[in-house]
Amino acid sequence: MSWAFVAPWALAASALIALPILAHRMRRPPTIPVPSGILLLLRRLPNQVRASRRLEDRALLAIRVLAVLAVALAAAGLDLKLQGVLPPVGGSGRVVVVLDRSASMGAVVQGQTLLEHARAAAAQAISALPEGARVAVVAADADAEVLTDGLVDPDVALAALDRVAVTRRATRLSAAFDVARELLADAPGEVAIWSDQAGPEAVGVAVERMERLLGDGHGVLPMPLPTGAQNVGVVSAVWSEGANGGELAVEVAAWGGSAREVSCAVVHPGGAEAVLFVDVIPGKRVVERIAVPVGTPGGLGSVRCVDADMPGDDLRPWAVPDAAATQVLVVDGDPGDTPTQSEVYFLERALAPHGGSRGDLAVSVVPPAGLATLDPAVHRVAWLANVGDPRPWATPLLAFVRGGGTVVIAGGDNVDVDAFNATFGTLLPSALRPAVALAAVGERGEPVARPVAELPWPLGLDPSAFSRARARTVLSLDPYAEGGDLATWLTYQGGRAALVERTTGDGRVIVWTSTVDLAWSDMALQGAFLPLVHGISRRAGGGPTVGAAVFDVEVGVPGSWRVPDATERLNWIGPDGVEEAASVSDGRVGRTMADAGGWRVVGADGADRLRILAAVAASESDLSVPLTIREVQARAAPERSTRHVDLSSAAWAAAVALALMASVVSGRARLT
Amino acid sequence: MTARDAWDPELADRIRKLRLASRQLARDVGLGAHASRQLAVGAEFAEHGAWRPGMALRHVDWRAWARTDRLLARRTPVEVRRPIVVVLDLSADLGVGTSAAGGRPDLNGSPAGLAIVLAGTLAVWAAGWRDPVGLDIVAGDDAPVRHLPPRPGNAALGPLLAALARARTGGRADLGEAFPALARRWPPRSMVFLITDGMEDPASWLPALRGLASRRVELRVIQLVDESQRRLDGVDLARLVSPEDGSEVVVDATVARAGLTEAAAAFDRELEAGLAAVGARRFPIPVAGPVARALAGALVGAGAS
Repeated sequence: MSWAFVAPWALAASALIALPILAHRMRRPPTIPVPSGILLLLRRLPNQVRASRRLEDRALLAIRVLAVLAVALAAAGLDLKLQGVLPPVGGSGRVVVVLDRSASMGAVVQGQTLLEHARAAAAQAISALPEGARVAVVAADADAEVLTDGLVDPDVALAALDRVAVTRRATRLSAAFDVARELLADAPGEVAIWSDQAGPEAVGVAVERMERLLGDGHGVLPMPLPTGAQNVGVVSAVWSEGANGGELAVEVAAWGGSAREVSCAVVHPGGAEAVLFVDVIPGKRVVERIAVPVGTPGGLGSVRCVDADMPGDDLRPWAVPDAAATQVLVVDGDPGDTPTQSEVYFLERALAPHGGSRGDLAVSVVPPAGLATLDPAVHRVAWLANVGDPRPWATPLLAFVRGGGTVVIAGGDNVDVDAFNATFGTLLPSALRPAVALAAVGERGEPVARPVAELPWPLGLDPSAFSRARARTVLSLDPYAEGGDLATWLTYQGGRAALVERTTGDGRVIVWTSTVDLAWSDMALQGAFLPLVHGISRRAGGGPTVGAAVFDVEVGVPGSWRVPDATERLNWIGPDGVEEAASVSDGRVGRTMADAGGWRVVGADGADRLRILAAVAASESDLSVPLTIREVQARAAPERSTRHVDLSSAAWAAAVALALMASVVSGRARLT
Repeated sequence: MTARDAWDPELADRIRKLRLASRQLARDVGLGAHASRQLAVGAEFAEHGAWRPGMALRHVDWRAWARTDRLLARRTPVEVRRPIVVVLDLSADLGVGTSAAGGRPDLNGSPAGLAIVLAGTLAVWAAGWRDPVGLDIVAGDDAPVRHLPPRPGNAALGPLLAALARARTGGRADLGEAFPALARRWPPRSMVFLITDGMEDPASWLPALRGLASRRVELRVIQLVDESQRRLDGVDLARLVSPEDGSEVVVDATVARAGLTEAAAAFDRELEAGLAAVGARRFPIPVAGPVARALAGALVGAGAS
């Protein structure tokens, strides 16, 4: 709101307020004399002390001053600019009615959904259009759909309003603006929008389109809707590996209303159910965690919170992966009496912190004799930790490497370098030599240098973390030439190799010249140890390849997913358990999920091939309005939303009223 | 009370009320005779004097003769009759306040009424000691008897109270003109009580008092002080009018109040000093306060401000 004056010079008349002020400062002796016997004393006072010129009748003075000011404002032609005030719909005779049908419009306010409010208001606006007006109806969510055959008669448009129904999709008004611009391409028109404008992207992504619309001379009229909508939505449900069967993190958000407790039913893949109570706070997201029972099979589960406002976002599926993908065989060359004395104690915990039942690494710890079970079809990595003599299992080891497996040799007092050289021969990066001491007894040892080049696996930490690790003893290697199939990934500061790899076909032999326990090195205690052994094992295993792949999809958005075997006969199984045939096209299956829930693509053997988690976009649960159409319009075309109100007449009327009031008050004062 | 007064029941009632109020106040004052400056032979010893032949032998103090071998006469003070004159200023300034029936000042609560009661009290007090008491009324309306010469006893009291009861305020006192004429009528050695509000310029009337001292007339000015008027109680912005001459002064009480307090104090000091210069004394009596104590001070000549 701002002010302007037609004749600002007339404001000078406001200086006339000095007149009533002066008049009131003048002495106004009462008309009724009061007899007094002390006039002799009073005459001895100075005049200015005897009767100062103070303001009399302040209320009357205020009225008179206001009257003078009102006259001045009226003479100056006071013009009030009201920003954000929109003209009535239909002035141009060409109107595009946009109804937001996104999920948030299903919120119930004053006993009706916002869409029902919007439909009724739109029908009223269309009915009130002037004769000859043409209307188009557009239903909008993330996309826009024209429900009329272009601009049509209002009666036809009214019928089209009934076809608008709430979807499960998010609000993005950009598509609606594009459609409206096409519909109004011939001549300037208006776009009347009934939308709650809720969601982080509702208006923000449409700013450019709206500015373009305004630039073409069209009007954008954001129509009012009832406020006070509230909603609770499950915005994420993620399983993670942990103790027992892992844990499920449920993230619940609330908008509007007050802080309250919400109960949520958690269904596990095995069918077990649990109840989760979440204290939600409007405008905030709350994460609650619940343990998954031991033995829960891989599959799909769900979380559903009780909320009557917008049921579409109250359910969110979640998935538990099948057994681990990469089988890792850890050969303990020096088993101790207790687990902590074992050679592979640290290695085992680093590879499978929580037991490894769900991770992408499945770890099996065996004594050297267990190398007999090494199977290239099952195992991807074999760690030989302080193994003395591998020659008895030379055949399966060589077959394993040549079959694409990875053997990691870790040093130790038991290692017979000659036996290893005889077993692996040219598959080794270089011939192994006896251990050498890098530091005297009692000293901390020689630190690992920073990697000279980027490691071939993601570390997820600063490479300088390796420099905290120190080794006192290492296996030595014959001199070798870097390059080709041989690479040195880590060295000690003295230049001796710490981690060396030779590639043979798809197989690899990697030498960790120190130990994986604390005998020669403290590497196992460093933060870099876990990502190091995980990186080596994952790279060797080629990533998770076993079990069904899991995909997320937004409800109402078409999706397609590649299946493992395009020739296989597949079926869809929905959240309700109903099974139907899946058509495979170009090695992919496709579907548009109408509701939230977990969908499975199963093979003939009944095993899952794909798991699809369909849910309403978290942004659509969000009822916050970070940016409004009015704000965009006020910035892009402020004159379109500014209404001028001539207040001169009102000022004249106020002046007359104040003058009358002043005369009444003055007369009453005289009587008293 | 004259025969004419007796036929005016309202006036008769006012006289009775005035007599009653005056006697009551005189009892409250509770003083004996006023002190005399004359010494004579009497019962109460005052001093010794030489006995001379021709004096009665009963005046000889024989005990003193036995001790001193000298004939000494006992001298004692005598109570003498001293004329009392009450001069009452009934100028219109004193008429501010409530009025009783007949337009006369209310004896209870108005400044003029208090002045009349004080005059009556002085008369009752003097008559009680059989001192000659007279009355002069300066200004005022409806006071046919403006001068009652000092007469002793109750014979003077009746007419005096009747004259007081009949008096109304009015006009200007103009003490400067009135005093020379009045003073000629006052007996030498008389005691004059001037009851006034003092609201005249001291310079205009104090010079007229200079001859009193030579005639050994003692003047005591009882000034009625109306603190309520001096505080401008009940006044905001007002047009104040003098009842004496109709002149007006517009006053804004909120700003004039503090200055008026200072001006009144300065005026009182000026009056005090002027009276002292002519051998007179000022005794202020608050109109709204207790009167008996202040009046007692005026009677014994103590407590002057």
